[in-house]
Amino acid sequence: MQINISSMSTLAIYEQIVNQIKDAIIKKELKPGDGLPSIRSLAKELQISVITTKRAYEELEKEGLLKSVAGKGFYVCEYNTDFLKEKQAAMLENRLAEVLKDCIKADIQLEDILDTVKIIYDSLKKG
Amino acid sequence: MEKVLEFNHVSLIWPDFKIDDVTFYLEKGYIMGLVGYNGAGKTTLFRIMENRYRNYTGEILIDGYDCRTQEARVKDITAFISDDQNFFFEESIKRNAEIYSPYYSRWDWDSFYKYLDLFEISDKTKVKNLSRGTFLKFQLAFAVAHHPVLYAMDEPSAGFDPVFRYDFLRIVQNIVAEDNASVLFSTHNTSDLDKIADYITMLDNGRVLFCKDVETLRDEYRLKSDKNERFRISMLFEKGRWN
Repeated sequence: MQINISSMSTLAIYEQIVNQIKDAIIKKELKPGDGLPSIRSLAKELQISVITTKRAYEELEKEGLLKSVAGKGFYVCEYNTDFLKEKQAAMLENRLAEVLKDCIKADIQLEDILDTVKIIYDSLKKG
Repeated sequence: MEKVLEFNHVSLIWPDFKIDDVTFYLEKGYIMGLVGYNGAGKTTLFRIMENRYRNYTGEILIDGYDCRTQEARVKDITAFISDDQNFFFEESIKRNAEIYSPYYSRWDWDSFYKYLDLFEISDKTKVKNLSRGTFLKFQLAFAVAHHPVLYAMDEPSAGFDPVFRYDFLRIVQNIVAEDNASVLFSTHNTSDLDKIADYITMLDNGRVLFCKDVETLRDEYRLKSDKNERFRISMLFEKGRWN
């Protein structure tokens, strides 16, 4: 997987790493049992401090997504992908609720919303 | 945790200048930036480590060896890099390496020539004819060749052009990753440190103001600042913010 650090982002560098690894786990680019690059090689690759990569991994370990094996490095955990998916679903629900609030404000009827949703969904599916 | 460099209550008092109870340590495999205004005592700390001034109190340990009483051992495992290192200036780079290499237990000619090639330096050049930047590159090649546990570099990047400055940071990160070495390096150009430093030690008037890891510094800055600006080490020099 490729991690990209943006210097324009308002997120701290360690947060950017945390988010991108989470995304990769959800998208199954990183599978349970996969090993991550060592804190030192990731720091070298991204040209950032070792302390920063270490913090990102420790943060993910705290959330139960990674586990560290002494002397070997960090691995993706076996079970937590479902939990992560739930979290992602909850996040999407919130975003959808925001849009629906605006629709209600604009006095758009449910049938019209559903029609629009269907049209957009179909066109996205077709690519 | 393995301490590679340890300053324990180091003090040195001169009529117009002092090093005042300097205490900090650096772990194996990490990069520490030593920063401070001119005259804060950065260069003096390097010179004390090199045993150029001996009348200090307290102790400095490198990999457990005392800089004052075990100088030969300390120099075997430490690379001191600065403008004012002693070489045989009238002799060629090759001759210098031949003269000095027997003193290093882990000397490795392959690494020496690998880095000379990388820096495009001919081993036939006399040391006195090297520019400031090339002199420091030569020292870096020389340093890598004896596989030290600690690189103590006083203003290493000051003589580099902007392109090599960037390469230099990569090289330092590489060395740390490959040899699991530690680096103490002072610089006025703190943007060098923004990228790669793990710890920052700030000196002022011969005293350590703080020694913190960069993530802690970034967090502290985020809490104090209402601006959405990324933390840079140069901000530590804006008076009042940290006192």
